[in-house]
Amino acid sequence: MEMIERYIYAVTHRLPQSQREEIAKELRGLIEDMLDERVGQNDRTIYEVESVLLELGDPVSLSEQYGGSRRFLIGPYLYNQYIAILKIVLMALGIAMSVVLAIEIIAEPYSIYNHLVRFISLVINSSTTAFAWITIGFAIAEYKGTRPKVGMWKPSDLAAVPKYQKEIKRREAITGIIFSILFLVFIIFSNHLVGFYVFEDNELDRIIPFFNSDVLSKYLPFIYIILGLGVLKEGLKLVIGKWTKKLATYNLLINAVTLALVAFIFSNDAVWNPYFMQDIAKITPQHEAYETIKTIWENSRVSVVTIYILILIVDTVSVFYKSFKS
Amino acid sequence: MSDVNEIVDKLLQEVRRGTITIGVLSQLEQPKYGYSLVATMAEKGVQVDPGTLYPLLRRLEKQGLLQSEWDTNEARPRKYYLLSPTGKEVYDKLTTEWRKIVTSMQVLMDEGGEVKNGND
Repeated sequence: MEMIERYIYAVTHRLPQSQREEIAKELRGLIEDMLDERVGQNDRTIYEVESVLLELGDPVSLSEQYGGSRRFLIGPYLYNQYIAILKIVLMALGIAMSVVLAIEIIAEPYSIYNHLVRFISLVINSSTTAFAWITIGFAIAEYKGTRPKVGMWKPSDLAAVPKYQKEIKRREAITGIIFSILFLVFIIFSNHLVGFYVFEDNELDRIIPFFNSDVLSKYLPFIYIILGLGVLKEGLKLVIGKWTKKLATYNLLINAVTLALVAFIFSNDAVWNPYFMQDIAKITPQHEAYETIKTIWENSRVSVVTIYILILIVDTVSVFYKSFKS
Repeated sequence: MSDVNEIVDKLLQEVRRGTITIGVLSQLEQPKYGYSLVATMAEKGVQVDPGTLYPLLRRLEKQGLLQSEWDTNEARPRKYYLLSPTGKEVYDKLTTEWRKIVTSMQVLMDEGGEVKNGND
């Protein structure tokens, strides 16, 4: 009977290869026995077969019973955190993208349609990427078994309830994620908007960008890694939930890698717009203003990296401080 | 009223789940195949769903409580299960524990009844 084979297939095809054949054989025997009990070999009709299969129940739940312990990509232990982080990152992404959209529309109001199209494709792209990476991260955590083995538990293992000042406020991590996304969205997609805004008769005439878009785009993979590390850092804060030495160490490592990548990118002078001073010269007839801007421009190229280093050092130290403060 | 019945059904299912394992072990001093086990247990008033029993037999075999052998002499090949030495030992211990549970549950339920009567 074909329906019996279909049923057996429905039960077994989700089970491990090694067990399929035997379970199928056993089930086939069982169904035959059950049929025999109802009617003889010759009087079988589709109704008897159906009633036997109905008695055995939904093949999916039977298959689950055979499967024994359930296996998860992301199990119940991590699921809530997974959903929380997913929501936060996607929300932060949305906010950051909207800010970029708003600025683009203000800066170039004539091409709203283009901005919108780009905005939508950016939102789709970046949210799928974020979704994928967060899921992969949690799947690895699940696979590696972040959950301590059942039965190995001792009361002395219980972590201390975080003191109020040691608790990481959700707000803080969320703001961190929004800013790192915002910052990098600008660097990656809207670096033409980061620049010197030239106004003529109280209207925005044009923007002289700080960066050289073409060169910067060659560093895209690195910039993505920096963004990923930034989100990872805030994500760890959310997952760990309190200022601990472990968190401070992770923070140090992430900051060190981030710094190395930033230094690597900016060590190439070509990432800066080579025509910047030339363009400035065109709009500043007065010599003095030009000289001032030139000094600032030349210094800023060094100071961007210096300021970044300082920010990272302050961040690293403050996280260590918070974790050691009792 | 149907709510009460539903809850009772659910709780009973949980109670039965544990007893089925002991029941199955009790019947396997002699080798039996799955469906004959369903029949003998039903005869003695214990209804077991084949969909529950078959996976259970496999699990118990995996845990080393049962041994199995395929009988291919008959027209229909059947897998026969039998208590392993470990299974026997486990079953004996479970029997002792089960008796204790029955006794203490009896005490608990009798006490509960007394208090209720006393309040009346």
